[in-house]
Amino acid sequence: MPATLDSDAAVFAETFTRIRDEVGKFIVGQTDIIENVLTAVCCGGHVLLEGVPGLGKTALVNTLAKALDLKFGRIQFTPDLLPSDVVGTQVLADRGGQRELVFQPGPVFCNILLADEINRATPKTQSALLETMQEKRVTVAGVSHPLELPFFVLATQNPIENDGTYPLPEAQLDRFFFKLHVTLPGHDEFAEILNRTGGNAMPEIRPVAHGEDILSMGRTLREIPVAKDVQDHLIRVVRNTHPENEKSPEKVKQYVRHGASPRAAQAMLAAARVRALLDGRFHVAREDVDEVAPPALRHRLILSFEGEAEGIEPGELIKSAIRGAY
Amino acid sequence: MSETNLGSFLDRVRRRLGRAGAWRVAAWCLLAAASLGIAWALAWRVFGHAAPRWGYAVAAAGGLLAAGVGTILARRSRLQAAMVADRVFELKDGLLSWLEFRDEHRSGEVFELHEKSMERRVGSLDPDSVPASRRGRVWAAGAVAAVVALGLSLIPHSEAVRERLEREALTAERSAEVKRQLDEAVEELIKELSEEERELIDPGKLRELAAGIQQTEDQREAEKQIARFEAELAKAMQGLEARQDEAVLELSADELAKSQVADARQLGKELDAKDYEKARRELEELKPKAGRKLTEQELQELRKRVAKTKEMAKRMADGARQRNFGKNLKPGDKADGQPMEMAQGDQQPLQEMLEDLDAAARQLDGQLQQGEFDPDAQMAMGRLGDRMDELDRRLGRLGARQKARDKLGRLRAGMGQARQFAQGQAQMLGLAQSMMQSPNAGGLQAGRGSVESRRKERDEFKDNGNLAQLQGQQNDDGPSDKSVESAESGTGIAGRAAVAREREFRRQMESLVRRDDIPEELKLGVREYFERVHEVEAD
Repeated sequence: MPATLDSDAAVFAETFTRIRDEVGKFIVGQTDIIENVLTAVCCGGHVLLEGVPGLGKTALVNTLAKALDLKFGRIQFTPDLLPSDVVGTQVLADRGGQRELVFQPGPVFCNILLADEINRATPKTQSALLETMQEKRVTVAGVSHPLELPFFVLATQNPIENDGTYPLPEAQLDRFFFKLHVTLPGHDEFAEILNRTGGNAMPEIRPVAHGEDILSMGRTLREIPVAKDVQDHLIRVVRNTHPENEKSPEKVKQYVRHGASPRAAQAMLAAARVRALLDGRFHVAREDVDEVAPPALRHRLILSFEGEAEGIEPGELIKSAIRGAY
Repeated sequence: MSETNLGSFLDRVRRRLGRAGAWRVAAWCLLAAASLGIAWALAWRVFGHAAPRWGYAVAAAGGLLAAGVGTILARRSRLQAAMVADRVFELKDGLLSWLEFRDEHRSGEVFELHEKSMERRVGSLDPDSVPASRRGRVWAAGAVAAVVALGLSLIPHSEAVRERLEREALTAERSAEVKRQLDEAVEELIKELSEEERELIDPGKLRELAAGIQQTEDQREAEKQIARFEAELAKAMQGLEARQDEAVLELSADELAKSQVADARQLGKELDAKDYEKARRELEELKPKAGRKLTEQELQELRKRVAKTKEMAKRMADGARQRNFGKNLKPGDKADGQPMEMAQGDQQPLQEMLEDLDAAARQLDGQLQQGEFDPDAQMAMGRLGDRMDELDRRLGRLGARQKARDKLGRLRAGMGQARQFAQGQAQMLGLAQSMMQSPNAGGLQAGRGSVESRRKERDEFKDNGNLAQLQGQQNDDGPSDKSVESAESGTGIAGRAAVAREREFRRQMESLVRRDDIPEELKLGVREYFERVHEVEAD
């Protein structure tokens, strides 16, 4: 029976739920984080996870890789890490008695890459990875090596250790689909974590989807139409993050130096479509846009000096931008 | 893409919202109109008036118009209905999206799926469950306000306002009647003016003054108009006075009364009665006439006649002299402390004219006594005739002034009635009748006063050229015993009794100094005494 959009949508929702539930076997709580990560994955986007150590960021990515039966790679970024350590390099190998340069792929050659503490690497190393994220290929010595799709990068940052770090520049941050704050679990979640991981038996994660399923989900969600009013609402939200916009809230005008780019609007639209499909709808609603706005915009608002001095949270500004869009 | 179900659902939602909107608008318009009505009524009630009904009509019409316009403006579009339904039924912009996809004519599997999905959703929804507040409280408030406004509309004018309106209506009616009658009376007066009187009274000016009386509701304004007109009439009458001449003639009349000649006494009577027309006729009788050649008998007759004329002239001149103790005054000289005035049109003081007449008569008499009616005598008679003609013209002008004054006086007296009529104190006004009466008819009314004696509580007037004050109590009944006296003589001290006494004493002294048995030295002494007295007062 030929696939129809109706069945594709049903498959989308079912697969998404399956993956989420499978990951949820190992990762306690963090439902929003899991859903947002899955959303980004479905949209083909990369995610920046920020949180203190020990909250399960690495475990999440690892679990996700297992659930999706995808090749998992991990890079622990340090200040002395070189770009070649990320993308790979050419090495002199002996082939049939002859020495020749052979490309040795780096850790990026996987489907899901965990870039741990990305802000500890030098800007040069960071840009090597970020270029790979954008192009989904590696070029070494003039030879381009495409990466196997799907390819996702889940980078992490530690917000408390800022000594010796190299904060990602704004242009690089913009490449991440979502930036998610991983927060401390609640008391019950704490207890559940200990229960699950304290014993000898650990939850077994089985693959419940594959890379092709992810690609198919990506194609499905792009079929979901968006009404002009809803799209206008989305655009207004993004424009309201710019201080030079007349209709922007006063707080934005006061505390923001630069607002979100059209790439943010693309990310929001894609993510909103995922929300619609998960809700069983074939249209995008304004509330879908409002839901995905915070993770899509928080790392794309560049605060002014006054905003930073005042300790303004981007979340407040995003809320006022959403309110101003109605 | 069909729209049978979703479209009809939206239309039902839209109609429901439209009806609710219309009810809301109607409620607010009712409240607004009723509030306006209350405000309208209160604005009038503050001043005791009943609110004019047209104000309510305007408020009601405005409310209806606003309700109509508001209802049209409150109509919701399909897009708005979709947004409301999405919100109420938590359709998450489903209907909005469907409407826009349909308007953009987008087609494809996904749009069909979307439509079907929405149809399934709305199939179980009731459009009438969309909340539609009809503003019950606003309706209640509007109804209460409307009842209050209606109640206020039924309250009539307050007693004071009713009385005032009645007064104003009466004043308007009466002032219109006064105007009408005044215009008629003025035209009648102008028609009756003789040629000489037309030189003294300007008809155009009189009409202009009469035009100042206009219909008005304001009683005070009506009284002011009448008072202004009266004042103008009084000023005009004052300009027509020739008191000095009349005083001279009065004294001359007194002297003429003492004459042995009957014709002179008759002339004196007529002058005393100020019947200048008759006096002129009498003067004409006394005027000697003769041809060039006279018989002896005719000459005798002429002598007799001239003797009478001489007696008349002497008496008149003697009388004139009594005013100023024998002095001949010219214009500019002071007589009794006042500058001697000439009435309009008069070239020579009357006293001087009478002196000339006396001299001419004596001259002619002297000529005739000497002998024949020679050319000198003829010339003398010619001069005497001229003098008598001058006196005749003078008397004619005096008569015209008197008549003009009388006419204006009647008109002025009529204005007194008009004022009472305008005030409602008289029920009828007959200006025409009052014009036919003498100005002195009726005189002063005890307790009410006449036009002449109408005063305010504190009133100033000129008494013998000096400012005096009359104080009294307004609206009290009481006799008014003042008399308007000649003011050309005065001592500078305001006091009617003293002035009257002084005048009487002067007359007695003047009569005394004319007596032949009084030594001349005594006469001169008395004259000098009074002259010195006047000089001191003038200083």
